[in-house]
Amino acid sequence: MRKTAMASAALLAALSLAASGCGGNNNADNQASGSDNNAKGTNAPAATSTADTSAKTNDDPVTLTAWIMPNSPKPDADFLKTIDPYLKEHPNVKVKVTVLDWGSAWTKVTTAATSGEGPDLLQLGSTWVPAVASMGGIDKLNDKVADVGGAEAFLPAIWNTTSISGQEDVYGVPWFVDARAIYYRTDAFEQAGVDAASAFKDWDSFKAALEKVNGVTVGGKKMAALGLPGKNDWNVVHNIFPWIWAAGGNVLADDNKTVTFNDDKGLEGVMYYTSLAQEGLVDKASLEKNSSQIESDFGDGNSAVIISGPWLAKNFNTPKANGGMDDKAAAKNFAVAPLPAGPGGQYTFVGGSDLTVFSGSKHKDATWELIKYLSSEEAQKAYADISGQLPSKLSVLNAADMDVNMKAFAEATKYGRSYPSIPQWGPTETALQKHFANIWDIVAGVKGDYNKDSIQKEMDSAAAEVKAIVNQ
Amino acid sequence: MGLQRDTDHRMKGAPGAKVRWTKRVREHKFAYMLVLPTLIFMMMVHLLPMIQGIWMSLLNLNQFTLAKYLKAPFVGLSNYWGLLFDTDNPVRQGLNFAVRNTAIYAVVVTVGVMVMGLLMAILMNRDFPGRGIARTAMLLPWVIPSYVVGVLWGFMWQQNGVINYLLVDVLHLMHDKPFWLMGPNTIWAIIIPTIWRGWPFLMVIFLAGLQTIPDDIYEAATIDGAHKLRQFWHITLPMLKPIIAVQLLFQIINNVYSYNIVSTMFGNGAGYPGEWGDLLMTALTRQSFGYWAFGSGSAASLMLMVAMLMVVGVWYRTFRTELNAQ
Amino acid sequence: MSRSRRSKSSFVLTSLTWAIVLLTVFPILWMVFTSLHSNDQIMNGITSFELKKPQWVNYVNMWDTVNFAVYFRNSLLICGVTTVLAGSFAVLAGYALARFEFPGSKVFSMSIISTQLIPGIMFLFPIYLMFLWIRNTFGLPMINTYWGMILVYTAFYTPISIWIMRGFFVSIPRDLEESAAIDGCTKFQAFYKIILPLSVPGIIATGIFIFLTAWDELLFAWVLTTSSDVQTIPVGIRLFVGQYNTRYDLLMAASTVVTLPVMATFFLTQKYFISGMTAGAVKG
Repeated sequence: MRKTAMASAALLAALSLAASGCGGNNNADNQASGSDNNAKGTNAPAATSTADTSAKTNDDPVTLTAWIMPNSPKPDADFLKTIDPYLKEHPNVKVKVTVLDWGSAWTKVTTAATSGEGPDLLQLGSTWVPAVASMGGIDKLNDKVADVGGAEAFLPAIWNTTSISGQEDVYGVPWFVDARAIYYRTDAFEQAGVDAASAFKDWDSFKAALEKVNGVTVGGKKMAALGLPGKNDWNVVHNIFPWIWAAGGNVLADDNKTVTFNDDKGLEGVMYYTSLAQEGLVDKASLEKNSSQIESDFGDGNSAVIISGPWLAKNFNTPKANGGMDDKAAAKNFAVAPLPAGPGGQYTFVGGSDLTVFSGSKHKDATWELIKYLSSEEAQKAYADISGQLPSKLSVLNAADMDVNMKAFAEATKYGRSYPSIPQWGPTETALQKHFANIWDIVAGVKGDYNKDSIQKEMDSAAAEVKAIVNQ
Repeated sequence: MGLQRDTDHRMKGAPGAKVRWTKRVREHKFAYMLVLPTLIFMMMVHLLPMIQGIWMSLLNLNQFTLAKYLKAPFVGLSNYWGLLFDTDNPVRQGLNFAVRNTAIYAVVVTVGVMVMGLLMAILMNRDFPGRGIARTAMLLPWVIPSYVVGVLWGFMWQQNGVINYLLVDVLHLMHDKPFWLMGPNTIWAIIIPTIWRGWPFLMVIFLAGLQTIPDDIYEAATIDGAHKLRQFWHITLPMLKPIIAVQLLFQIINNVYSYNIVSTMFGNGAGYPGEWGDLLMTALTRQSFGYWAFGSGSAASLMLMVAMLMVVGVWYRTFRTELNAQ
Repeated sequence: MSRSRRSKSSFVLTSLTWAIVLLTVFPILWMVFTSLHSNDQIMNGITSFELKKPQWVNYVNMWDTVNFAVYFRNSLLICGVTTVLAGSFAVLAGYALARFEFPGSKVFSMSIISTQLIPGIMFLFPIYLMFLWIRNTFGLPMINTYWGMILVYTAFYTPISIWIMRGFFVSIPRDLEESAAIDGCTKFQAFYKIILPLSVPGIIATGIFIFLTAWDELLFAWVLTTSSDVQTIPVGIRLFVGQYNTRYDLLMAASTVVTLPVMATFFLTQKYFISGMTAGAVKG
């Protein structure tokens, strides 16, 4: 028995060494390091990483791992299809795709970033780049971005997300753009006698138009004016901020430290947007749904107006058998319009995704080559077509042969805005999502009375939480 | 090694309890071999990581210090202090709701599955047409993965979903279709599916227990003129008490640590379940990975563990006689 | 008179039983029913019990929209091996606890319960980093491997299985081993030759329990697996529904399909399961 006890004692000792050893291994401070980021692991991976100069010879077989999100109907197949020409040209390169879902991607990317154990190519939501960069999870690409055309080649709103606000370093290359605009039913507007040309001018005309359209019957179905998702959505924060911006509010003041979204202007924006739901222009059942369900409601003729992204237009072109809605009346009777201007100007949300080189990668050069290909006009166009996302490259985005809906979205990106590019944005968004969810509870009438005070109170507590986060 | 031999030697001189202790260890070599694999696994996966977790709770771990992990700035008990006493602490504010909801959820679900399970077991213990099919069908919910349960019920609870359809349009039990996934109703939207998935297992266990109670006890009671209800209180329940004791503990633990159903029901894992839907596990997960507050996440986890240890203590004192009777 | 009253009350009870059974089964039927609808019908909320055109195609499309077959294989493999390992450990340790009062057995029992009290989120990150350390020190990759997942799951589900197995062994009379000892069997032989064959129902019950619980695990699978080579169903199934693509039709079809193997396992072994639980449960 004593032998056993000794053995387990030894094991325990070894393992507790293991425990403390982990910290040591992760201790490598790679905040600012560039391509030599491999110091992160222990010697073993670092040693192999030097082999990566192989990019010079360019023919060594290499297998890249890519983490992407479900951006398109068949996420991994679509991605591989897009890079197929590249792979054919480079038979030594193999790409293994892992699709992360948005819900758990944050967890996974965080863990990967802190541990240095992850993919080669990493897709990051545009608001995540500063956070992951500040954790040392992705490489600087300063010297390389000239290869893909540099800042001028991309839509400014998305290019801004590739670096930390106030710093020069670039950490990613924009891949695709997600912008929001209004979809409306042309037949419903016609029937209600609303002139679509002037309806989306400003907040007043928008509300007036909605009031007129509300309850109009098209194809035997009574429509609600507007469809909007409440708290059970991925976009809770993106749905609200365009209205705060349009009212003249902002998330943070220019110093990126002072929280301002709960000021009078911010409140005005939130009140305007939520009042649309409060005043009977929205079927309250939709407050429980997510964006996809709202889109489907629109497709089914339950609502005359919704706010959504470019993928919906693509969805109206996709056969029913593939999960699309090409058979719906809405597919033939919709148009895209910009979000109306508020007292503080016209804004919409612009997000999207950036491509980054993971700092633990052992094939950084090969990864960069792939990113280069993905930002080529050919691949940008191919991926935009297949996914229904907007290309990030201006030359593709403004190409003459874009279809009319995509053009409308390209137009929308001109007044697009994104969040402050700060490392704390991830937690900030978590906090905002929570409190905005509470606001939707108030709007739905299941959490106290809906009035300026109750909304202000919720905004204030959101602000307090955000303040604590950004001043960490 | 030498030290141990030394002690052994000393013990020989003074025969007492300790001699018997080492002897007993040697006698039970076989038993130790049997538990060894489990011990190794538990040490690797439970003990060592937990020690790190305890250490983490004393550190200021946020997104800037996370890469340093165990060498992050040491802050002593301030994570605990913040959670317990700092009313402005956003972490604490969020956890308040989670604590309340978890308490309600755990109690209602535990009572619900036990009562429903026992009731179904009694009903199923009778002989009736189609009993075999009924018993099998009853067990179905238990094999449905909980992440499926969350998604499935998420659909059913929607305002224009099938539950409201049945309640309002078919049965006319309510006038308006309520929201289930928003506001205070959320707590029911998470409790009911959990009970639904949990009770079949309890039914099997109780059914098993009922079948071990000899019929002649009931017969004797009937001759004595005891009413069915009386028989239930004085025979059935006491006979089932050991089972109830064990299952009660497992249910409480399961439900306090419940995560899957809630996390998949709201926004497919991306949403905030709301002030009436957030449970401790979903809140702590958000704390750790959403805010990257691993330090206070660990501190809260540890406090929960201590609280639960006390619950287990109370449980043990309450049911000691039944447990030792075995 | 009294007989007719009894049959009347029996009728009421039987109806009540069947009513509860129907209510219980309804959500499952609803899941299957929903899975035969098109995506937009599901999103709009189905409130009709009539099925005009069953979308069987969902059961075809689910396999190629998301690489579901791979997730399926991974889940089967990881949960299968976990069941065997955790089941064996539980049989051994459960027997030890049921039969021997060895120094430390009380502590061991307590620590079994205690493992159930650790919030997963607290040791998830440490396990992740420990796995990294093992890779860096011994060159043995742990994250995103089958054995890494199996190691974690085995450790997770062994404690509670020990408890079930212990209850089962307690219900087997001690005389059996005593007479075996008289016949010259060693402790191990007595256990192996006499007790084990008697415990088959209990072992099967425990195995099903482990398999079902492992099939259900979500949080650790999210973090400890990083590629579809190893990822399990709860990770993969979420890919049907996301920000840019939402296929609730396929999600429901997939939900139905993932329930089938557990259901099949369960029904094939139901008899053993119930008798195993009967013996185990009664002794706690």
